[in-house]
Amino acid sequence: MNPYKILGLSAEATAKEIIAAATKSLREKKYSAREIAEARQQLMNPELRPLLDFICFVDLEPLLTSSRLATEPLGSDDLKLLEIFV
Amino acid sequence: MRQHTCFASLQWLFKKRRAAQVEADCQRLLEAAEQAEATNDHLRAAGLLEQLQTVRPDSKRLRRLAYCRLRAGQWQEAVEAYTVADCFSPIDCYHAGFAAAKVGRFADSLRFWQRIDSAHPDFLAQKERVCQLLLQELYHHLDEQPIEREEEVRQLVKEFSLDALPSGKELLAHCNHLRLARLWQEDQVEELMAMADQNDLRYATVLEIQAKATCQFLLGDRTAVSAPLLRQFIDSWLSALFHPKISQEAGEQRQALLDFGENLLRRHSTRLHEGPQLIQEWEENLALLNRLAQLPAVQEQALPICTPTLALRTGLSDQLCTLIRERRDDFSNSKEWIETGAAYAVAEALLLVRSTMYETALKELVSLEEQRDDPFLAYGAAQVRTACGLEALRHGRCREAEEILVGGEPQAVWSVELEKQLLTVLAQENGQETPCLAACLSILSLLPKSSPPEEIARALCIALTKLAVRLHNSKKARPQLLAAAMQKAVALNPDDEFARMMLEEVSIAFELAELHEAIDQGWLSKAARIAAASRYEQVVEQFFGAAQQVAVQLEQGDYPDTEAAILILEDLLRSVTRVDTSHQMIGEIQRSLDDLRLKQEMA
Repeated sequence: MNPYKILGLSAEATAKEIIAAATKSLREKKYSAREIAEARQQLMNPELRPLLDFICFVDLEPLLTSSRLATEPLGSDDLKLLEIFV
Repeated sequence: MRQHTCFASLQWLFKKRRAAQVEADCQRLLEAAEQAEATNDHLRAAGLLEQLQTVRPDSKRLRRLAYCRLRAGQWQEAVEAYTVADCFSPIDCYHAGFAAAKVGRFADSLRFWQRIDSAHPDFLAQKERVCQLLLQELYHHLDEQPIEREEEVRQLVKEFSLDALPSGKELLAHCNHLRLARLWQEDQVEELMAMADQNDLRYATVLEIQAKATCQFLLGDRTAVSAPLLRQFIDSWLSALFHPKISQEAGEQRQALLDFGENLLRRHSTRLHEGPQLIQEWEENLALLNRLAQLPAVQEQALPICTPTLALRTGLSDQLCTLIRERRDDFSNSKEWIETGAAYAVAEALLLVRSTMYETALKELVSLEEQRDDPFLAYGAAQVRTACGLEALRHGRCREAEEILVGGEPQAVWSVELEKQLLTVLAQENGQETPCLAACLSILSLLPKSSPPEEIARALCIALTKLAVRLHNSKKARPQLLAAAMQKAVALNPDDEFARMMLEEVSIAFELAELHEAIDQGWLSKAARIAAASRYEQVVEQFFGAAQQVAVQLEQGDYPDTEAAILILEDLLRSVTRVDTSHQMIGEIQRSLDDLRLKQEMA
C-alpha cells in the first residue's frame, strides 16, 4: 500500500503534517488503524522515506500527451456519394 | 328508431367520403413527389413525402423520404429518417452511413457500413477515409480530456478495428498509456499488475510505473507471490534502475533502491521452491547490467539498457547484441564478453528453459546451432543444451541426457561450466539411481579437455573421485567408464594423491576385466598384449596364473591330439615370452613342447 495515499499526503509532507494526517485518517476510518500506523511509521523513517519517495511517485506528464503526427486536418466535405450499391 | 338508423347511415357515408378524399390526397401527394423526384427536385419530393408520411405512415415510404433528404443534402434529417426506418439493404445502409459521415457522426456512419458486406475498392477507400476522420476526432477528444475519455475512445477503436491503421495503433497505444496513468493515479496496483503484459516498456514512464507498481504490490501483505511475478519484478526493477532517465531520478538512492529490491525479492523467494533460482537470476541480470552500464558507449550516449528478457519483449535484443559485439575491447575478458552477448542473443531460448519449457527450448536449438560462427549464439546454444540435458538427467532419462549433452558442437569455453553444473547436480542428488551417475561420468569423460581455473579444477577432481568411489563400490559402473572418469580427475589435479590412488585402482580393475575377458574367449595373444602393456603387477600375475593353468591342462593330456597340443603350446610360449622373456614358465613350456614334438616324430 502507498503510505502517501493512505495519509493523503504529497511527497513534500513534513513530520508534523504526517502526524496530523495520521490522526485525520484514523477519524475518517477509510483505512484500518494498522494500515495508518504502518504508513505513518514508514514516512517517519528517515532512511526509508527517500526510497518511498521514489517508489510512490511518477511524473505522468509524458503519458498524457499524445505523440500524434502533425497532419492536415481532414474534413468530410469532399466525400462523394458512391453509386455502387443497387 | 328510424331517425337513428338514418343518422348512422349518414355518418358512415361521411366517413367513407372522407376516406376517399384522404386516399385521393395521398395519391396526389405521391404522384407529385414522384414527379419532383423525377425532375431531381429532391427537396420538394422530401417535403411531399413528409406530408404523406404524416397522413399515412409507411416504412417503405420512410426510406424513400430518407433517400430524398439525402439527395437534397439534408444530411441530419436523412440520418434521422434512416435511423427510424431501421434499414437493412446495402444501399440504405450505405446512404445512411454516408449521411452520418457528412454531419460528422463518423462512429454512426461506420456502424451503418458495418452491415454492408462489400469489398468494392471505392467503398473500402471511403470507409478508411471515415475511419481516419473518426481517429482525428478521437485524438481531439483525448487532447481535451485525456483521462476522462480514454475508455470511450478505446472502445471505439476496438469496435471499428481502428488499430489496423497506423494512426489507430498509435491511438490505442496512447489509450494504454492513459489507462496506466489513470490506474496509477487511482492507486490501483492490482489492475496495473493485471495489464503488465500489454505495456510497451520501451517508454521510460511505462517502465517506471510497472517497476514501482510491482514493488508496491510486493510490499503489501502478500501471502502467495508467484515466480512469474517475481521475474517480472526482477526485469522491471533492474531495467528501470539502469534506465538513464529513471536512474537519474533515483539519484543518490539508486544503490539503496537496488539493495531494497534484492531484499524484497529474497523475502518473497523464501516461500517458493524456485527461490534460489530467482535469486540467481537477479544476480546474473544485475551483473549483466553492471557490465553494460560501464561500457563507455552506454555512458556517453545515455543508451537505455535492460535485462535480456525485457530486451526480448521490447525488441531491443538485436540493438544490444550489436552494441556488445562491437565493444569487445571494453569488456574485462572474452568470457565476460561472450557471456553478456549470449544472454541477449539467446534470451528467448533461455527464457523457455527458465519457464521449464525444455522441449520447445530444444527445438529452438536447431536454428541456434545453424549459426555456429556467431560466438554468442554458439555459447548460448551450449547453455540451453546443458540445461535441457541436465533436466533429462534429473528425470532419469540418462540416454537422452547423454545424447543432448554431448550432441552439440564442443565448446571449449562452455565445457568447464558444463562440468561444474554436472557435478552440482550430482552433489545435490545423492540418492539418485546408478545409471544416472554413470551417465554423468560418461558425459564428463566425453567432454573436451579443458583448463579450468586451479581452484575449480581441484574441486572438480575431488567431486569426480568421490563419484567414482561410490560407483566402484556399488560395482554397477563399467570399469572402462570409471577409468576414463578418473583419468579426467587426475588430469584436472595431478597433485591429488587420493585421486591418483583411485585412478590406479580403477585402472587395475579395468585391465583385469579386459584380461579376463580375453582369457575367457581363449585369446591368449590378446591377454598377453594387455599384460605386456600393463604397469600393474596384479595384471601380469593374473596373466601368468592363467597361462600356468593352460600349461597344467596340457600336461594332464587334456587335448584332442598331439598336433593341437603343439599349436596351443607354441601360442602359449609366444604369449608368455611377449610379457616376460625371463619368466621360468618359458623353460617349462619349451621342455613340454620338445617332448610333444619327439612324441609326434616317433608316432
